[in-house]
Amino acid sequence: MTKEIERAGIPVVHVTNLTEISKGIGSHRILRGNSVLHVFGNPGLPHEQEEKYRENHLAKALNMLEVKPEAGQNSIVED
Amino acid sequence: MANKLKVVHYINQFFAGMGGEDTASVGVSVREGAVGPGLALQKALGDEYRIVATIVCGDNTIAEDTDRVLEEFGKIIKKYDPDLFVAGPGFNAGRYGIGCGASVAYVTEQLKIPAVTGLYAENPGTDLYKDRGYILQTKNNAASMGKFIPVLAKFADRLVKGEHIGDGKQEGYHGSGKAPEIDFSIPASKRGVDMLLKKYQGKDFSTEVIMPNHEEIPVPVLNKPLSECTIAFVTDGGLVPKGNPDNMVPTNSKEFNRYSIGTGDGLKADDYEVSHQGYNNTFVLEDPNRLVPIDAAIALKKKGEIGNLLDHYYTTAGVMTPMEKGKQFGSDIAQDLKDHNVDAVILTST
Repeated sequence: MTKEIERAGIPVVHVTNLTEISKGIGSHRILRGNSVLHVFGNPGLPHEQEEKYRENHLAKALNMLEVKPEAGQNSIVED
Repeated sequence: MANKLKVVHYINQFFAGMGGEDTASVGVSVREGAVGPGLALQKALGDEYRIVATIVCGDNTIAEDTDRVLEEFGKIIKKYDPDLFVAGPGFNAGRYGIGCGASVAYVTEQLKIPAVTGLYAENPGTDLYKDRGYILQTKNNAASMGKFIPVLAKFADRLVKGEHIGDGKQEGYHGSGKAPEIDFSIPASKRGVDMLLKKYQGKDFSTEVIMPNHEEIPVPVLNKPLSECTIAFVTDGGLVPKGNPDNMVPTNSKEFNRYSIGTGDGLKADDYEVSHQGYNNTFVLEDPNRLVPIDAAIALKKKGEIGNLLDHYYTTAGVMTPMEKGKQFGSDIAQDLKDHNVDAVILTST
């Protein structure tokens, strides 16, 4: 899905814990989630802190939209 | 001398010096020793190998009557009993490419002799045969012959020696290369353990599950600042409204759906459920924003970090769903995103 959306010219950040698979299929921007069960969650934290965590993680994902993989690299993967 | 590894090479009428289009319909002929690009190939393969015969065939002949020509090739090749078969390379020549791909697939599968060629990605022969034999990646014209022949020779040598050949991306061949041979009389458990032992011992082994060699697409970029962009969310984690109104299946998806993100400051646990049988969804049920972070997106929109947020999200269950379906969902979602002037997407996968 990532690739077909990007084929249409719309940049995508793929947020997943299976980063190797995502890289393998050729996603360009990959952000590792908190857990495969809750990529944007952090259930160990109190509710308010978890919200803050989520906002930061989403901001990180959004910031990746403004960068491109370096020459010779197909993907950027961030934690 | 007698102990040299024997090579049979196939080239077309042009590389055999017989002419161009005017002679493209000539039939199959055999010459002793190396001819044309075979001379460079012989040099690159070195003293250990000897090109014992060169098969020449007109491009029209092999492209129009492939099966019959391959049978003829088969008879010739068996006569020489070679250790290696090399075709071309055919670069971006269409009919020659079909000849190269088809003959490599035939020799690999029928004669079980190591075989390799080299073609350009867009050669029609590449797509047809890239999952049935080794087709190394070349540039699109024969001017690169000099640089490519040593690469071809090195790969061929490793093939003959039975060295481990990695996947196409790593090794520089198209598609998945030679198809794995599976002996179904041996139980899968034993085949699996044998494979693991070979891997552990650094011996050659091949997977029974072919991973497609994915094409690369250009990297899209934002065409305005993030603070002016409309963002949308897509997930394969199966998030649906309470009651699963469209009966979205939890596995082997045939469709994707789009649903409202509601009007609050984020997704409400009471309003959503999960149709996905591939992960423990307790955490998402407790708070759906953990999968589709609408609360965080609204917070960032309020701060002016992003321009807007699409009022619906896209969802499917990415379990046991064939690649082809995923591609179709992606292209349909892309169309809808364009219709809604979406600038960028966050896609979450479980």
